[in-house]
Amino acid sequence: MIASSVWLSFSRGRSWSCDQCRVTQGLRKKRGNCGGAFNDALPMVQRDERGLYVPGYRVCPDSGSEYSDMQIRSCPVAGANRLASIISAYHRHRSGLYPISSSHPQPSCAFVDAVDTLHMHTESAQHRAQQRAIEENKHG
Amino acid sequence: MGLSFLTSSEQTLEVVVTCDPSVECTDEERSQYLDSGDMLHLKLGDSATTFTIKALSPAEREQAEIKAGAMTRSELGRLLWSEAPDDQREKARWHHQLSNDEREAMSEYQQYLNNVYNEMIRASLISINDVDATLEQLQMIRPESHRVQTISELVLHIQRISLLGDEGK
Repeated sequence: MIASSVWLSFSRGRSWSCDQCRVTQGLRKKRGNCGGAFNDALPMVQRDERGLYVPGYRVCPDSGSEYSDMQIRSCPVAGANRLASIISAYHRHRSGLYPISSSHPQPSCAFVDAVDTLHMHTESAQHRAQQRAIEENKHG
Repeated sequence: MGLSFLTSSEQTLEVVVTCDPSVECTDEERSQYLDSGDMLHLKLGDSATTFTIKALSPAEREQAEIKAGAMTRSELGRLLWSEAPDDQREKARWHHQLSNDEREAMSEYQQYLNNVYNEMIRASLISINDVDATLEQLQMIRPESHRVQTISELVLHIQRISLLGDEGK
């Protein structure tokens, strides 16, 4: 979920979004009504012993290798929205607005793990964007 | 969605255990409750015992592991534990093939895990029915099967609220 927040914004128009559910009739239900389990009528859904999932590269086609193999089991947009407070605290800390310790003075293990994961994927996305810019410059 | 963790180690949560005679649920409802912590999956009687627990901070979790013997735990036991088959019958046959040293290492590692669970509860349990509580009170629960189930379920709740889990990542 936390990794999805990074790659959804990185992939922009090519990744899953709420607009798609608004425009395509029945898609919201197939995607689990904003956070529930996927419906087996969802295109490109796969099944394993834990239930239905969509591979990360189907959710965010232009994601890094760490994310593309992940098994996404509920709508990542809804998940990212649920984690918005952690995501905004991380970005405010990163931009120097205020330290994360002032908003979360006694973090749980889960919070620390979430920020670690968010940081790792944010760095990976930035690195990917830089690599792409270098490649584009090389080829004019 | 399997996200029900707490972001602060000062936040607390009230839970019940499903072996409590005042708690009614099917196996599926029990599983849903343990996954989500949502008491709407259960039928609660008036006299259901409530346990108040808190999420663990990284320091508290590390301290629990050290107190349980993380520095002296059997690495062979840990390795064998991770290699053991999931299927119970297959596991029994696999265990039968182990040497005495390996069985002892497995047993030591199992004891270490039990100690970790106890120390996690010691760090997390705040009160029972709003009265300050300790791990020792849980150890007095009888019958034995209820004591074991109470500890197991409390550990599951503590892990759920303290750890991000695969879904969260």
